Amino acid sequence: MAYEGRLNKLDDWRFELPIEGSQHQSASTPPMRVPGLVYTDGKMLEAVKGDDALYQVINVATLPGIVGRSIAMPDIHHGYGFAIGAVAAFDADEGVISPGGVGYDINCGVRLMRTDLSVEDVRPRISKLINTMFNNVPCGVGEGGRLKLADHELEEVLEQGARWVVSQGYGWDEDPQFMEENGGIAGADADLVSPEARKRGRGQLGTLGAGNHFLEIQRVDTIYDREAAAAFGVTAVGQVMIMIHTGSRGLGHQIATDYLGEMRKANKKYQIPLVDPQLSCAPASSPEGQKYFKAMKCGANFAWANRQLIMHWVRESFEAVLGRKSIDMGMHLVYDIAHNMAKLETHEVAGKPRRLYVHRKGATRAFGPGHADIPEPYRAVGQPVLIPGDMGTASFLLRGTQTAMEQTFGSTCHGAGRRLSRHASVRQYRSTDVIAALERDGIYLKAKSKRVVAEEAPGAYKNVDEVVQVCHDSGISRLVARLTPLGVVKG
Amino acid sequence: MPTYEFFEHTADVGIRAYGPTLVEALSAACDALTDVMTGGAQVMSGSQKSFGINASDTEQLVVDTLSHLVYLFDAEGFVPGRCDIDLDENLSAHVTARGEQFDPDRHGEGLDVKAVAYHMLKVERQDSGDWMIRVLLDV
Repeated sequence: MAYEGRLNKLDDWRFELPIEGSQHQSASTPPMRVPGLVYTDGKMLEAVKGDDALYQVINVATLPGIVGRSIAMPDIHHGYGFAIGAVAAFDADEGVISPGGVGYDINCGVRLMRTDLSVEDVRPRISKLINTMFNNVPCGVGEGGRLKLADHELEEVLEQGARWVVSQGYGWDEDPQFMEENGGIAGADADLVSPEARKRGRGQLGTLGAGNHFLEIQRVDTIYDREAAAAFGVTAVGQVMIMIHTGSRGLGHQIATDYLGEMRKANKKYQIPLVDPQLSCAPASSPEGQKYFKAMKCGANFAWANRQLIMHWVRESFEAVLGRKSIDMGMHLVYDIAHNMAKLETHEVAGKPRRLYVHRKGATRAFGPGHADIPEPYRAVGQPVLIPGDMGTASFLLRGTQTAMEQTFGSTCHGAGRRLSRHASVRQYRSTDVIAALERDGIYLKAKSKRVVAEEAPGAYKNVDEVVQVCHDSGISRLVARLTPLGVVKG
Repeated sequence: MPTYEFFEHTADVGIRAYGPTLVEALSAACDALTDVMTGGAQVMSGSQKSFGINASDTEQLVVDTLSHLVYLFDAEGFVPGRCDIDLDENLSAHVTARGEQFDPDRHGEGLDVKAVAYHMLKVERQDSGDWMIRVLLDV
């Protein structure tokens, strides 16, 4: 049902869903506690109004303890409970926490590695590099991982994340400092992770998965901001970069499933009006809320460990094919971000610092210059923000801004978002045509499943260039570099 | 008449499953899930897995039953073929799934089902007397 209620234009990129005059999905929806705020442009606005995402922004605005605005990023689309591309902050004492504000793929995220290599070094060996990565990194449906973890080792992963993986020799000592939360968020409690979740996770650490997840060798196509780019280790057009997009795999999905069931009960217990069964929540300070939060952190740590292992095997793949040490090729981690997470953060609201549970579902943290949580070498320019494209389309490196701190609890967009359903995409595209079209553009693709190739055809996604442009123009993050693929590994 | 159908949803797969009883509609929803996870491949029934579900309502029954099949597929590599379900009046179910171990050559074109969603979930008895289950899979 297309949205026909009020939507007040604040400026060229910001539209407000007012408390009075917004159209609710049903007559039983409780009143909004705060307005909605949508980042988009005139061109994308009509598409945004066309699906149910704006109703979901309104639904979130009705939840207890929400602070500021219920925020929608330019890549917003219909999700479960929260829209994908949603940001909402809840007061630590009075507010709620909701698994629907994180999603099933806890800490789905992106990692970017730099190199000293240029396109000329890599292009002649691209198929060999991609095939080696494809063989070294398990991917696709039903594909198990290379590590067989004992239960106590899995607990170390759940509570320490990437740091434990690095301590076991899968990476460099410097790696964790270039990850959000240093690759291991404090306060994770493995005792709160069910045997089912552990069993799903144990065999899947160090696997890419399928769907929209990918592993790409990219080239720097454009540098917009030389100073910030240099700080992030990006120095020249044509420089080779590597991007990893994946999450917490079955472990995170099972934690979300387990706690959504618990939250359904808690929602009744605390008598919170339920606007959508996927929006079940509990007071963040309640035992149920805290249990979910600590279990969710285990999922997040698993995801950081997962991306760390994959990066280690990418380094090994480059070493094997190019015959040089990865350190000599400058294969340093630039940064690693989560785009499905709830975090307890301090933000200034109406001139006062407040403790808030910031939910980012399909949204990326984008802290501005000077923030203590940004790695020291980057602190002066702002946090690196990584926006993955889809197979064959551009990805982006941006930086966080003070404007994001003031308007969006330090958040920005997360990617392109689907335009076509998977079925529609399979009807419209043939995998052989997609592969041939990519080849014409000089992109080598290695995929486990032909069906995934058709489902993930570039035309099935919104234009990521337009999405990041709105973030740049509105100031909630600033463009640093555009990256285009040379080779892609898909599940 | 097919006992289940898929409907379009931008980022996910929607299932509508039907049956003359709740149990048969649920069994059809299980078939639909297998269809999605295997890409429509044929599933042999060489082995079986049994599990119990205690649900507080019919919606929870659907989510918990399908979620357990996702778990068996993802954690144990078990591909469920046909599900026989015993259900009592307290919504306690005993499910026996006959199927086989995952074979990438035959089952590898399926979707990576992450979870079974509550969003848009509907379990209802229709005017005809038949049951209908509408459920979204996060893929």
